Order: sequence, then C-alpha cells, then structure tokens
Amino acid sequence: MTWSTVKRALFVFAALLLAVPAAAQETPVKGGTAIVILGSDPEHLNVGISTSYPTGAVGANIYSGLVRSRADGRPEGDLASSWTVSDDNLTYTFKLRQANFHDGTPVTSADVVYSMLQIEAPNHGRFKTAYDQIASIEAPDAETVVITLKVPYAPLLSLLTVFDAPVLPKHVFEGTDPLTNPANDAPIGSGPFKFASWVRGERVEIVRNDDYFLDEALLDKIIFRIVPQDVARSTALEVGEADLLWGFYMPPADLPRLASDPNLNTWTGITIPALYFVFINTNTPGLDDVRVRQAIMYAVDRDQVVEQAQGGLGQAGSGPFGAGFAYAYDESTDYRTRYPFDQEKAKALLAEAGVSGLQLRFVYDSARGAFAAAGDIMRDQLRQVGIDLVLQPAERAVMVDRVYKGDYDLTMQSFTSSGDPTIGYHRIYRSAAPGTPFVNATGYSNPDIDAWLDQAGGLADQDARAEYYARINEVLANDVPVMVMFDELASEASSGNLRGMRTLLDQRDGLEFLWFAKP
Amino acid sequence: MAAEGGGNGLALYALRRLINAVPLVLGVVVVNFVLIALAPGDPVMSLIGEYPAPAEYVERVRQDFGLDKSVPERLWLYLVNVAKGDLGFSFANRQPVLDLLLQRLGRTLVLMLSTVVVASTVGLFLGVIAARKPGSVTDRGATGFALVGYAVPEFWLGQILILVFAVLLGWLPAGGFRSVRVEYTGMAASLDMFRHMLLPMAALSFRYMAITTRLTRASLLEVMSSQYIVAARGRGLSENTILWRHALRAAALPVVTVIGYNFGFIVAGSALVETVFGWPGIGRLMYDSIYTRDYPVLLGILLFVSMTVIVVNLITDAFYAVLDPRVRY
Amino acid sequence: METAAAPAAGRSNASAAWRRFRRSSSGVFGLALVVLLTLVAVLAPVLAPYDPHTTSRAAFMPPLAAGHVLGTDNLGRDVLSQVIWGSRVSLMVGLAAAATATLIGVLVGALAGYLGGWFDELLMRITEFFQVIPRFVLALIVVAFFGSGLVNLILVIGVLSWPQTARLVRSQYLSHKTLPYVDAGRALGMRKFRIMFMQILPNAMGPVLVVASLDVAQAILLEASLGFFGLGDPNLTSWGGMLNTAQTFIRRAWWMSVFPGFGITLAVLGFNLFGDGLTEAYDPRMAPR
Repeated sequence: MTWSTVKRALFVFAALLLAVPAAAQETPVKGGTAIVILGSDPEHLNVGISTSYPTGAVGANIYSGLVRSRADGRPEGDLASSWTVSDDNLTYTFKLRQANFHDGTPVTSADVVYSMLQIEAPNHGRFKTAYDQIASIEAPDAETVVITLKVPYAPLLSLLTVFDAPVLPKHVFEGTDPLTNPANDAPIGSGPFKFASWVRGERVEIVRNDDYFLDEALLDKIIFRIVPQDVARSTALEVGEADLLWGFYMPPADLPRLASDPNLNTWTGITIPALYFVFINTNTPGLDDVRVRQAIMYAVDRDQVVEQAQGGLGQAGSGPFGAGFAYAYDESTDYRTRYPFDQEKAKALLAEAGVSGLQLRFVYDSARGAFAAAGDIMRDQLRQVGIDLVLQPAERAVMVDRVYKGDYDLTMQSFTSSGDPTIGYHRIYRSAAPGTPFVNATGYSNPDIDAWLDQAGGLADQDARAEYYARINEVLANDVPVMVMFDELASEASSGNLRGMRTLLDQRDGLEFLWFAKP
Repeated sequence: MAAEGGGNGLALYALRRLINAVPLVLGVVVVNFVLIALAPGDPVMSLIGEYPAPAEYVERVRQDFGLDKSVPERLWLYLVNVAKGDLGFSFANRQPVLDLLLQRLGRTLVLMLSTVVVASTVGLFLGVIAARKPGSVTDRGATGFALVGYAVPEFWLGQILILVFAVLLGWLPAGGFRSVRVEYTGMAASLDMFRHMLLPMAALSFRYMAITTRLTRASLLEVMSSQYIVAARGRGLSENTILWRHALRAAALPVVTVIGYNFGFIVAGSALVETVFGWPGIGRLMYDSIYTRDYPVLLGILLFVSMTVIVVNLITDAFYAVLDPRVRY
Repeated sequence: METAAAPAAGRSNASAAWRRFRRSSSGVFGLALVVLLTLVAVLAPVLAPYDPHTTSRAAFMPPLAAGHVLGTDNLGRDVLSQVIWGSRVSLMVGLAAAATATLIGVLVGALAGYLGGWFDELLMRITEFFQVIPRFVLALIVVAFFGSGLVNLILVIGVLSWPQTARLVRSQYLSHKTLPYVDAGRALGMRKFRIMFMQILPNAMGPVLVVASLDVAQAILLEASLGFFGLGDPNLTSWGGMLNTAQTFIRRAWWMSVFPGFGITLAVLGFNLFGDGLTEAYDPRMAPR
C-alpha cells in the first residue's frame, strides 16, 4: 500500500464522516439577520390588545408571558420560573424570574397584574374568555402572582402565554388609554428581541436583547418584511430575499414548488389545530330538516376540497372538533366513514325530505381564496344532487355582519382552536344570541350540548373530558348543524441554512432559537 | 371666455379654474364619504381581530374612531378636518392618513413619472419613424404595436413579464421596492430601486406608449400635409429637418394634451401594477385599504387623486396655451 | 321639404359611411373580431366541449392532455370551455355598460347642448365631476362594498363612463341647433324633444357610435381589471376572474394565465379597431387617429 492510497483512503473516510451526520453535528452559532415574511402590516405591536396574526408575530418576540408552550403543547415557564396548582384546581401561584424590561426597569408582579386586569381583560378577546372564569388576580409580593378561578378551567395555562396575556410595563401604560398609547407602535417588552424600527407597508425590525432573562437570541436581528401579494411571498423566498415563510401567509399552490427547491426547506404538520367548516343556517326553510343537512354532507367531496382548494394542506373533516385533540375525537362517529362522498344517498335523502329546487346562498369572505375555490367545488357537486348554490363573496365587514345576523344559508369559516377546544371550538356549537360575531351562527341550539361543553371545559383530566366529547360527537354527527370541511395542516418554508424553527408551539413564537448554519 | 391675452389672462384663467375646482372637490368628498358610510357591514368588525372581542372593547374602538356618531355628523367633522388639512386617522395603520399618503406618494410618483417619461419618449420616437414613411414596414410595425399595446391589460402584461424576466430568465426581481437583505446607500440604492422598478414600469408604460405612438403619428401626418410644410419642402429643406424642426413642434401639442388628460388612467393602471409587483405605493395602499375597510385612507386617496387630476388638467391647459398662441382665454 | 330631407340625408349618410368603413382594413378586421367574439359568446353552449363549472380531480392538466385542448385549471375545469364562456361576460358587460354610458351621455349631452343656459352649466359641472372622479378607484370601492353581481358591474361601469359621450353630443348639438333643417323644424312648431331626439340625434349618431365602440373596449378592460382584483361575479366564468385565479398558479400552469389574457386583448382590440373603422366612416378627416 503506497502512501498515496492511504491518503486517498483517509480522505474518503474523512469525507464519509463529514457527509453523513452533518446535520446532527451542527451547533448553534450566533449572528446574522433573518428575514421573515408578513402578509400585511400589523395595526400596532401591542399583543395585549389584539389577536391579529402579524401583531402577534412581532409582539410575541418582544414581550414575554408568564408561561410559554413547548412544541408538544406542554407549558413551561417564561417569566414564571415555576408555578403550583392547588388541589381543588382553583388556585395557581406563579413565581417570577429576575427580568428587566428593555428600558431597564425590573419586571414585577405589579406589571403582571396590571397587564391582565387593566389591559388584557377589557381588550383581549381570548384572555377575556379566561378572565370570565377568574375570580381574582393578586400580587402578594413583587415576585409572586396568584390567580384564583371561580370554577376549574382546563385551558388556563395556554391562555397565559405571550399571545394572550403578555406582560406589559405598568409604568408606561398606567394612566393612559392602552388603545392609543404610543408604546403600541414602539413597544417596550422584556422578550428576547427589542423593537428597533418600523417602516409601515415595508418592514419591522427587531434586534437581540442582550439583557434577556433566558438564553439570549442567536440572531442579531430579525426583519419582518411585509409582502401583501401572495405570489411575491414565495418568490421572495426563492430568490433569497427572505428566509422564513409561515403557512398562514403561504399560497398553498406554491408549496409543492417550494418543496422541490433544493435551496429551501419545507415542513407541514399540525401545530395549533384549526378547523375549516361550513355553518348550515338551520333557520333557512329546507335546512331546518336534518335530512337535508345530512344530504349536503353526503353530496360534497371533502377530499377534493382539501386537495384542490387547500392545496392538500388539510385532512378531511373527521368530527366536530377535528382530529387535532385525541380526547375530543371519536372513531365511531368519524364523518369520513359516517358521511362518505355519496351523491345517490344525498339525492335519496333530499327526496325523502320532499325537498326539490333548493336554492342556497353561500356567503364567504372575498379575500379568502380557499373559500372561493371550495365554493366552486361545492356549487358543482351540489348541482349534481339538485341544489343550486349561489356564491356570494362579501368584503369581510359585510360578511361578518351578514353571517352573524343570520343572513346566509351556507357560509365557510375557519376558526383556530388556540390550543384547546374549549377556547377555540366550543363557540362553534354552543347556543348563541344572533348578532354576536365569531360564535355559533347556525341557529342550532341544544341545551344538552351546552351543558356537556361546559362540563368538558372544566375538567383537566383528559379521559373524563373524552366522555363528554363522545356524547357531543354522537348528537352532532346526526344533527350536523356544521359541515366540518377539514383540519388545517400548518406549513412553513425556510431558506436551506436556517435552523431552530418551531421550538415552541406557535410558529411565530420563539424566534430567539433561530440561527443560520452558514450565516 | 374673456379675450385677454398674455400671462395675466392666463393667471386669471388659472385662478378661476382653481376656484371652480373647489365645489368639484367638495362634491367628490361628499359623494365618496356618503357612499362608503352607507356601504353595508360594520367597519369596526375589521378592527377587532378574529376572536369574539369583549363588548366594551368593541364600543371603545367604535368611539375611538368616531364611528358611534351619525353619518351627517361624521361628514361634517370630516369636512371641517379636511379644510384644516387633516385627512383623518387610518384604522388599519393607526397613523394619520396624510402621513401615510405622503410616505407612499414618493414611490408612486417615481413609478408614474418615469413611466410617463419613458413612454412619451419611446412613443414619440416610434410615432415619428412611423410617420416618416406611411405604409412602410416600420409604420405598420409601429402602428400594430400601438394597437395591441392599447388593448393589452397591464396586469396581465405584468404577470407575463414576471414569468419571462424574473422566473424564466432570472434577470430582474419579481416584485418589491428594494432588496431587503443588503442595505444599499447612495448610488447603489438608486440602482437597486431602478432594478426593481424596471418591470412595473414596463408593464405600466405599454399602454401609454401605444397612445403616444398613435397620436404622434396621426398628428405628424396631419401636419406634414399642411400648407407650411409643403412650403418648407418647396424651399428645399431636407425631409429630416422638416420632420424634426417643424412638424414635431406642431405635433407636440396634441401629444401633450393626451398625456395630461390620460393621467387619470395612469393612476388606475399604477394601482393594478403596484398590486401585481408589490410596489408599496398609493395604489397598493388603496387595494389593502379596501380589504381592511380603512375608509379614512380610501377617502384620502380619492380626494388626492381627484385633486391631482384637476391640477394636471389645468397644467395641460396652460401648456396648450403656451404652445399654441391661437388659444385665448 | 327640408324637414323630410334631414332623416333621408341620415340614411344616405349611413350607406356612404358603410362604403367608407369597408375601405378601412383595420375597421374590417375589427368588425371580424367583434363578429367572431359575438359568435363565440352566442354559441358557447355548442362550442364549449365541457361545462365550464364542472370540476374534477384532474387538475393542472397541460394543454392537449386527455381531451383538454387548453388544459385544465386548479379545480380540474376545462380551460378552453372557460375561455369560451368567458367571452359572454366580457361581451355582455362591455355592451350593456357602453349602452348605459351612451344612453346617459346622449341624454345629458343633448339636454345641455340644446337647452343651453344655466341648465347646460349645471349638467356640465356634473359631467366634469364624473370626469375628475377616479373611475377605477370608485368602481373598486362600490363593487367591493355593495357586491359584484353582473348588474352591479354593468351599472357601475356604465354610470362612470358617460362624460366623454356627453361632451361630444353636446358639441354636436351646439353646432346642429343653428343649422337650417333644425330652424325649419322649429318654424313648423315641432316640440323641443321631437327636434332633439327625432331630428338632430340621427344626424349626430355617427361620432357617438365611435365613442360607444371605444367605450365597449374600455368597459371590457375595466370589468377584467375588477375581476383580476377578485371582484367579478363568481357565479359566471369571466376572463378577469380566470386571471385572478391564474395569478396564484402562474408558474405551475402558465396556460391558465396566457389564454384568458389573449381573450381580453383580442376583444379590446376588436372594439378599438371597429371604432377606428367607424371614425373613418363618419369623419374621414380624423381617419388615422
């Protein structure tokens, strides 16, 4: 064996060593600027008074909550170093870490209590749902916060994250109107990034907070680039003008193309379950007959809707609460086996109900392409069974007004679960007064369902919850006031050397874990 | 019209036109305000996110934006504010409408003005070479281009340009206003913006170029057969000298007029093109504002565009007067 | 009698105009395009190989694949059939909106031109108002907020498009109302409205038709633009609406974008050229405009 063969062998060996486990050997490095795409300008950056997506995306990385949700959905301490729950599940006691706001002021329990009581309870939709179950929020000392519930409430912790209950600086907000405080546009938080600049319609920049109370962010800076045109978003990624595109802003049609790009990484999966569904107005003559509603379930090929309207990013509807929560899903009432695509069955049911020549209005938000495509498919398929569907797109404010005042026959909507069916999905089925936006608009009201929903929501034990959900599923599978179209699959596309995405449950959260393999 | 000559008459005329424009602008504001206010749907719904918001919050937002008052009351307040130069407060952007418009205005103007310059220059050139030999291959080519150019929708052209130059060839960026990753300054920044502007400018100028080509050709042909050109020919001036010195000057008049009077169209065109290319100007702001029901911004844009059209028409008339001494006011 | 001579002159004008029109090659080509478009629109149910609304799992089929000459779209609908049916919306909106605009324009222009005085002043102020108002922006707002049904589209486009016709008709009336045949009518005690619409109008119609033809082209473009912004009637297949969908898939299915774009271009071109031919026919001096 000559020296040169040895050298060659060594070289090959080294090459093998380097090549195979390259990904596993990477260690996070500091530095670099990542460009994250937003589809629209945030209205402001105060997560404490808004549930809007872009506000959350920027705000979540500037502010901190008491807890945060790991990727598997379990809560862990954010500003709270630890917490204890009393045996009756009514009292939660949180201990705070040593932390400072970006202006140098220490974060105390007074800030936590002030934020929740003065800013979030009156202004934040989701936190308000939790607050309705809360008896008191107190600060016995500077490092302790005690939340006492009226009744046991399972999803409390998932409503104390930065998206629902961010800790805002009391000294900045006290004595002002939180809706118009200038700090909403130049926020001061305690999170891993500090606000740097904002050019409306163009970009928001945040920079690393070197005084962060947990592990410092790896990136120097994040630029949120505002790209309203959906096609331009994927292009920006492809030409290297952006590093991260969340599914919320991704044109589903582009995902296959992005996935085949060797310079990009793509991912699909479920993070926070979300449902796309069709409210069936039970006050419409014809639709008050359960057989007609069932006929509609049979007549629509939900797999085709998923494949074509949603670009495959979904799973055909399996039940009232989707497939995202095992305890709320029931195989015996799975819509996919209970209501397969069967137009003959649909025709038979319509004939049995004595309904013919039914003309229905399909109302949807004109800005939502997936709804329009689903409407096209539904119109075609309902026509095959003798139902004439008239598409009525409406600008969002008009749509909300019409739907929640009952001026529609069928309407497509999408609700996020926000991490627990109690928060996001119960409102779809609970009896509701007409005119309230974003709740049950079908006119369907069943006291049994209402009672079971409340009981399921109060239990922390998942097996016990499952019992109530099974009863609910059973009744709703027959009554079908809502056609559950599909469970949304989340997606993401990122430049090939970006790492550390989805360390936390919400894709928008935890951008401090991002880093570049080759910055 | 008063038969006064000279600059004084022109100034008086301009003043009278401006005074006449006041009720016009007022009408535009009132009609649009009422139209938007009467539109179905509650604008507050666009301001409160996706999740059922607390009732007190909804009411607070309604009060904050003055939406709890009656339509006539709101209209009166709006008019008073506009008279004071305050165009209101954007719902979606949470900043004064005037600031927002001024911030976006520059980018739209850059796009529009360079389009006008490029389209006029190229159009003029094509028109001249077409008119030089009527019926020739060049003429037919230029005329055909003008006809098709006038019929092609600019948003479709924009998409095709993206497809060819950004996707297929990869020469130019597909959209946006400037590179985000690199912070250019000075000359490099201008160059970077220019690269981003090329495609939208091309998409937007096509139609304008077509109009200019057609008009230049037509008015040149008319002028070329007129008495004094025939006389010039008789004096033995070369065809090129005649064309560039005499004919073009005479033909400039209708061309200028058309550029001025088509200004409204180019505003509409830039809205479409800005949307296709994600150019963050007034046009895209308008598109976004419709979907967020941001009516202070919509009203501001309508007011602004109407006023621009009035002023441009006025300038065009003035140009006409300067170029053509026969026009008297 | 001179009153009798005027309409006759109108008729002979028309036949002379047709003779001149036939000589204009662009006009004839435009007419051919318009006729073709009309035929396609009328015969759509016969010509289209598929129902344009029928979806299928076979989405994104390229042209010539599996019996789809121009391929299929994102929902598996036949693109050729959609392009064929799309001609209906374009033609319908184009013609109806232009007719609305012409009707309003003629009424306003005739009243202003013939009656004159403060009435003229008022009508011209209103006309000016509609000229200054940004047409596209306003159409966008009205359709977005009040709904994008076919009737809405036609009315919005029509109501925003009449000022040019009004100004033209007004100037026609200003010059016609002092001509001998009108004086004669007045001397014979004819009612104002009879003079305006039975006597003068037929003689002023030529240039109005030119503008109307160009209005059709503009209306088609405007409808397509609104459709491209997602503000067309989703219950009907339209070229603008197809382009709106195609925009999302431009790199995956170029055929979704290319063919409807050709449709719009040809339709607009047709009516523009037809208008050119009419110009030549009625006002030869303006011919090469």
